[in-house]
Amino acid sequence: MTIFRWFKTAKSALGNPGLDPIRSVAGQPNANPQQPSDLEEAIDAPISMEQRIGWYREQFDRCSDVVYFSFVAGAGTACSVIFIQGIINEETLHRQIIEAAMTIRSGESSEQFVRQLFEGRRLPVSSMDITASLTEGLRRILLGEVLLIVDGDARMILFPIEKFAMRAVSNAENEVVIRGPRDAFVEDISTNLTLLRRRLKSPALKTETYFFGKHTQTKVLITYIDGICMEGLVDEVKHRLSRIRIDGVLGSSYIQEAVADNPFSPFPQTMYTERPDVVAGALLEGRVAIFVDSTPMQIIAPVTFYMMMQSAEDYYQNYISATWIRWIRYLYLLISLLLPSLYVAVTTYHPEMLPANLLITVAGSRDIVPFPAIVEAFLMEISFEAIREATVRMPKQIGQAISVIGALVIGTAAVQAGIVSGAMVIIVSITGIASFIIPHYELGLALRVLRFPIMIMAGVFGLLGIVTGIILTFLHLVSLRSFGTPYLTPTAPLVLADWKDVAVRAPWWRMKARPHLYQTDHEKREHFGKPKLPEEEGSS
Amino acid sequence: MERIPHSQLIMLLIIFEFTATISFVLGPLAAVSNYDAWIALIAAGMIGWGFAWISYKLAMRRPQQFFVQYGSQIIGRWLHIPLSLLLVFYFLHSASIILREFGDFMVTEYYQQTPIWAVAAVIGLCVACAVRIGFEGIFRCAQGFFFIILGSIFIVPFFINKEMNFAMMSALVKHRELPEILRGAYLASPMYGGIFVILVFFPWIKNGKKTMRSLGLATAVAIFCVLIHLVPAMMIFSPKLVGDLTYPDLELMRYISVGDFLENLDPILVASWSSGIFLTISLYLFCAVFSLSQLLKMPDYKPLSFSVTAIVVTLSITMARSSNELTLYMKHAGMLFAYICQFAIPLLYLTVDTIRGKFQKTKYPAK
Amino acid sequence: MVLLILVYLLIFGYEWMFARRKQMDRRSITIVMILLVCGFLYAAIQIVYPYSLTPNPLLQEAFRPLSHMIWRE
Repeated sequence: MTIFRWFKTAKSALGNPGLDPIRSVAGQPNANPQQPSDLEEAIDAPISMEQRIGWYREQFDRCSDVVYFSFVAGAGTACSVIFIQGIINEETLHRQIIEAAMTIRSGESSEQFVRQLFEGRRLPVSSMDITASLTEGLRRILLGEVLLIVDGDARMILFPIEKFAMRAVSNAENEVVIRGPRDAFVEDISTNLTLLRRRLKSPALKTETYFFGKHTQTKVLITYIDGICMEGLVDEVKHRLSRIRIDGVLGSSYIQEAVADNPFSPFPQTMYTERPDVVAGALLEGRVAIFVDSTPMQIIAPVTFYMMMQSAEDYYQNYISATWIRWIRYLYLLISLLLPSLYVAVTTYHPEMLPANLLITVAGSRDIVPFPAIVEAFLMEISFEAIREATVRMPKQIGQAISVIGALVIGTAAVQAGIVSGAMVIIVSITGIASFIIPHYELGLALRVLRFPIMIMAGVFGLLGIVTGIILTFLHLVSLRSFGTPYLTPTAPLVLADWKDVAVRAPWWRMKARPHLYQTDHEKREHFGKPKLPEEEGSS
Repeated sequence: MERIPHSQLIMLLIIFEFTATISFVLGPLAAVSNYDAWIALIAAGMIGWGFAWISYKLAMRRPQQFFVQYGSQIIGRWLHIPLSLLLVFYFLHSASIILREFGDFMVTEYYQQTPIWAVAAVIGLCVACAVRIGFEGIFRCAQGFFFIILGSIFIVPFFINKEMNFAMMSALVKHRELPEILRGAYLASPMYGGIFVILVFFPWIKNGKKTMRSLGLATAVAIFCVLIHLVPAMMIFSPKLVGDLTYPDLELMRYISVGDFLENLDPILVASWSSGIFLTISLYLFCAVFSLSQLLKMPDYKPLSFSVTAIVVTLSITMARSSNELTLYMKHAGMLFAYICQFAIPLLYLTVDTIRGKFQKTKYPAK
Repeated sequence: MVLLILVYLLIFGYEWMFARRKQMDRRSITIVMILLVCGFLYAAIQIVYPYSLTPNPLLQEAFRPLSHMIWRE
């Protein structure tokens, strides 16, 4: 209930018109252009075509890619189109707009032609908008629409026939699954929306459009399922978006950072994904997805820590094995955060914890090493970070070589030279592998960063230092919220009912309720009972 | 402000009640009440619960208000302010005593080279952050650590049962000495009576009427947690030795060896247990900071957290010159001070309020 | 001593920043600063005169008659 109340206050803040520049500044392309203000402007707007084209020429001064094309349409009316070369479908422009406008069968007078065009909509296109505002026309030309100006009428027609060069839908590269759909989002937002719409064929899937970036005018879509997603959450998302004032939006992280609850946290407070099925799943749980144009990574909010430990694969595999894999993941999460620190703490402060034989082995390998354990661990971890970063950034052909050299130098040569101990190499490589097991890359990154302070604490205070590090991290996580949802949700605060998708991956016939926390409107999912065995079915 | 559900309250109070008891009271308890220590422990738990009951009754008189704010209506401003300050000091002092005991423990057992202020400062940093984050943070933290701490407590008796001398059982059952029980209960009940801190933040508890039941459950679980360490310790070491050991529970943990592979698990267990100590200290400190801010009529308690934590850390280091001095203090003054704050002060308020209620029936309708 | 001053300076700085950011009222800032100064003075006195008074002996004295009754020593 508290979250709800919190939303309410946020909502009341939203009600203040001064706080909501989205609509006033950016406007919506789907909105009816014949708004009162628009018409008022139309009175002052020049009717002469030459004047308007002159205005646009002034605006597009030194823009060589803008095309102005004048032609004579039916009934001898002078028309012209303005568009930007390369971002529209010129074929459609020729066939369905210019050619069609030339051949409209109207009476002799120009007025009749104009009426046919504007009221009769006698052009063979699937969508057109009418505006009288020059600035609106300017904005829409930049979005890739074609502006048709007719001499003698203040109104202008916009044809959304944009066509950009874009990548075809391809396999997901970062979030790979073995079973399950392979397609991933691309840079084009309308293609991405199609991918989602193909999965959620419901009128309840709502998409609201906004534009961000003074110069980029990036299209941003807020998508949610009406009736599942709580209205307060959508309002909160809109409210946070309304705070954004930015020059350009070049990727979804620009938006992500602007809507975070705690801007100083290393942990991701919204999730990104390149998989349409993950977005669809999140929407079905009552979350909101934010699509950003020109990026294949879409944002999901709100998220919890445990959501980022779930991979899409879990839901496509057998639930028993998926549960096991999930446990392995939790184990390696701890390992990736703590193993080097544990090694440092145990070898430096608590060697009595190890069994005698193991102790002898470890001590033997550490015997020739000239550094204390903490320095050794730091050296190795830092160089491993370097290798990892290099292999990601290097051109692919060289990447192989880097990893081979790195492995050789660190794995063999350093041990043989007695700079580091063999045990440390094992620790570092297990840690490295462990950090790749975490499904969400950003979360792995946060843990990678946190590993170093905890290592220092372990070097100074042993296990007590590790505990301190864990406590501080935990305190931070506990205080973190993602759009009002506590970050560690099913564990702290405890919601036992949600453990079905956190501690285990329950079979679908047990997932009766959506995760509680988002105050979803319909808590119960459509579900079927446990599948009956054939003999049970026969008897009943 | 988010109200805390009872599950969180129970979890934090369980941790709050048993972590300090299990490590610092076991020895003195066994020393004074020998074989009756376990009865004394149960009695102490009951007494502590009784103390909490008084505070609960007092809090229920005005369930929507904070004690520090309405206290002056009961006994007048000039008595209320010093008494509240005394309570604040009690919270600070309890926090620093536990911090000191913890520091002593760490320094003597694990970090002989490390000065005690370093240990105290590290824990102090955590505590200050916890108090800074606030009330919800402490409770959620307790919820997160609860299963780990409880697991590490429950694991111990399973791995040491082959060391136990079960013949000792008969002495545990048959031996009865009333004075010994009373003395033991006197020693241990302030540890359980600590739950009277609910008085400070009572309006934040969701559905306050059920509080007594939650407190009872928490106390019962906490008693059980201590018993499963106390009884094995008695059976392995005998009460005399338990009484003489400084940290009997640590010695108990050192008996663990899991299948010849992990020899000494005690650092791990101590690590998980120390997070319980951290929670205990932060609850005390939170109460102190919160009451102080209300007493000074500040809008927010958070800015006080760091400065008060600094005071607690210095107090814990300087309060006694040696751990012996601390033990002596606990024996002669600590317990009495605790009784006054946990029992006498709430009782005073309750009595005055009842008497006043009798005289002015119209003003406070009887519940 | 140096460490102590450093720690207190750190806390002071943090609180100052916090107060500035939250635009706290003058009274709260004063209270926090007074508490900081008190804490610092207490710690400094304890370092300079290690055998000066702490609350424990005071309390012990205050409760002496009662504790004698209980322990009968």
